[in-house]
Amino acid sequence: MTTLVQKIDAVLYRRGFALADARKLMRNQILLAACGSALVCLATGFSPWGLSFAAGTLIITMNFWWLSKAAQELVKVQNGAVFTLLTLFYGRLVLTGVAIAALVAWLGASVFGLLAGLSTVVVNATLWGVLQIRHKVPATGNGKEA
Amino acid sequence: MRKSLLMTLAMVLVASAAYASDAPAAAGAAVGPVAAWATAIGMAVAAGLCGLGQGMGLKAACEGTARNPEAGGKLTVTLILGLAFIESLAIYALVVNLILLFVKPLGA
Repeated sequence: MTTLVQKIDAVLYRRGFALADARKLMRNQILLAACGSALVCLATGFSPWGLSFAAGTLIITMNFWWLSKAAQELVKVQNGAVFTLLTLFYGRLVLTGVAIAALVAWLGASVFGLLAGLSTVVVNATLWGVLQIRHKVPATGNGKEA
Repeated sequence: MRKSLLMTLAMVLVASAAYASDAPAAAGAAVGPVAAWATAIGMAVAAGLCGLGQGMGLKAACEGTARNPEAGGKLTVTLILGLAFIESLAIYALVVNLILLFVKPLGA
């Protein structure tokens, strides 16, 4: 497991994820998406729900990848950053819309499976935030310090 | 300018509802055009407001990094989290709108 994490980290570093925390966030998303998709597909016997979940995780992971890479670059830019961000946002939204429309309208994907898959990034970000807060808050003592 | 835009929007909405009520197939047929308009307006509002939120977040992060470059790393991660949440909202709105358009939970 450690080797796998190190390999993913190395690939992410080579792909432009220079910040350690951003790299960890992306790595967690990749692991969550891959493990979640594998588990759900196996648990549901590769049913349409499971495959829709996998498709949702794939779409949102790619979205998150581009978002993270863009955000790391855009923070350093002082002029025209917002315009670039908005252009990238709408571009991503259009591509995501086309992919989801194709899945829902033509391939008959399960909407709830797709939504569950798309929610993995929210789960990842929430877990990250909760863990950060837990690391910041000092452990409660036995009350004798007071 | 704003008044004319609001008038145009109101006329378009009223016209679509009126055309829908003229259809002989009664309630079921009226849902179609209304759902299409709801989808268009819902996606426009969601995309616009999410774009506004992302822009404001990035603006604040840029200002923070410019004032305190040492905090740039933490600000970037917080920015990524914020942008991810906002983008998720836009994608949820997109999925709901696509459900309205293609799955048609309100009827044909």
